[in-house]
Parts: sequence; structure tokens; C-alpha cells
Amino acid sequence: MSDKTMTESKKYREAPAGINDTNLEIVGCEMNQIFKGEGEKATRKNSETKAKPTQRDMVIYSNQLKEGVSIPVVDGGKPQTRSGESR
Amino acid sequence: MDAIQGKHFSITDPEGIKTVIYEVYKTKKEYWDEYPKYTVERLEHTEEIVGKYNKKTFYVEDPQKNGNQLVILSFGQDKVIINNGILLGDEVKITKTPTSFKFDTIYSEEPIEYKEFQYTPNLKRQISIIDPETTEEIKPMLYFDEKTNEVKGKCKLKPYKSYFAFEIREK
Repeated sequence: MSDKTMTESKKYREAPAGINDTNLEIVGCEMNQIFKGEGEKATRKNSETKAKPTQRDMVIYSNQLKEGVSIPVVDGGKPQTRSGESR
Repeated sequence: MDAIQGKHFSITDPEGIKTVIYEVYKTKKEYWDEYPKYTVERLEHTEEIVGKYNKKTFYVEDPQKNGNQLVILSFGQDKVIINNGILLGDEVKITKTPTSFKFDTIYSEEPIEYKEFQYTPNLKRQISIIDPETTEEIKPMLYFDEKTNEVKGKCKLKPYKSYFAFEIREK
């Protein structure tokens, strides 16, 4: 994204929606089967451990996401690559 | 190598599941009468194959003190799992899922053009249409509506194919 586009992009944005914007709804489209709510219960184990922010080496699987799960976040944006380097 | 300021986190997809994440943005108040109040933008990510799994690292460019609202979509065989998340500090917390869903079936036996999206001046929109097989966004065709003096968009959809569309708005 160019600097000009970046500037223009931020001009109309107040801020990313945060925890105060909890009155939002998602309008979705029906596919053959919509799985609402908390994720694939069939794949869950009763003894599953909850993710802890301090355990940064813990693997978070997308089919185990549910209310209350925490995904650790670390500092650092997407690395830029110089031309000619592959990543 | 210079890193952009921001934060990142990782989610691992098992075989057959593809996850994409959107961030929800709020338009400035003075523009609410004209433009969508909330827009969505897909997070950039990188991927790493680990055995049968695909580890995806998602990047948030502008972490906020009061949190960044995220929508996590995990596409599987004929289904999509939706989770809400808040990035706050050093974690993304999966929050209570929205209590109301409205569904429109986007499936047609003929090619169709879906909905007129309204854009903000920086070409952000509140609706995103996704091909569930590839998880790629269907890019809308932009045009200028002379009657309303607005830039709008329409998505051309193929027949005999399901699409997932989600829209963010206030209850």
C-alpha cells in the first residue's frame, strides 16, 4: 500500500472496533450446513487445556476455538522482504 | 529486514480447514450519515506447513489500547465456524458469539450480481463475500452511481456454487 493510500485509508477511520462495540451482529449466508456457536464439539476432548497467554509455544488449533480460549499475541508486524529474498 | 510495528498471533489449521480473520473498523462519527458505520478488512497472514497442519500467523498492524475486534472464520467441508475475538494486550480472547444471525442463501443456477455495496471514501466496505472452497474474497466490480453520487460495488457470482457473505452492522 502506498503512503498516499495509507494516509487516505486512515483518514476516515476512527479506530478499530474494540471491546465497546459488542452490539454488533454478523449477518451470514447459509451454506449447506451452518455450524453456529462454539466450534466443532465432536472434536473436543473433555480434558482439553485452555490456552494461557504465557505459554507461547502452545499450539492453538482452529477447530478448538471457543468462548474463553486465549491465543497468545507477540509483538512484531509482518516482516518486509527485500526484493530477491524468498520467505 | 525491517518489521512493521504491530502484533501477531498464530492459529493452526488441521487438514481440511482454512481460517481467515477480519478486523472490524469503525468509521469516524461525522461520516455515519453517508457511509457504513463499520467496515471489515482481512488480516494479512503468513503460512507454515507443519506435517499435516497449516500454521497461520496473522498480523495486526495497529493494535489499540481498548482492543481490536476480530472475526475468525474457519471454513471446512460445507460449513463455516464463526468466532469473535478481541485482541487486547498480549492475547486474543475468544468472546461470546453473536446472539443473532441472519442468513441469506447465495446460491443460484444462473450467474448473478450480488448486492450493491456501499463504500467509505477509502474504499472500505461492511460486507465481504468469500469463496468457501478457496477462502478468497470475491472482489466486487466498482461503479459510480450517478443518481446517488456514490461509489458502489457488485459481486458477480457463478451459478451452481455456494458463497459465504457476512456483514457487520449494529443490532
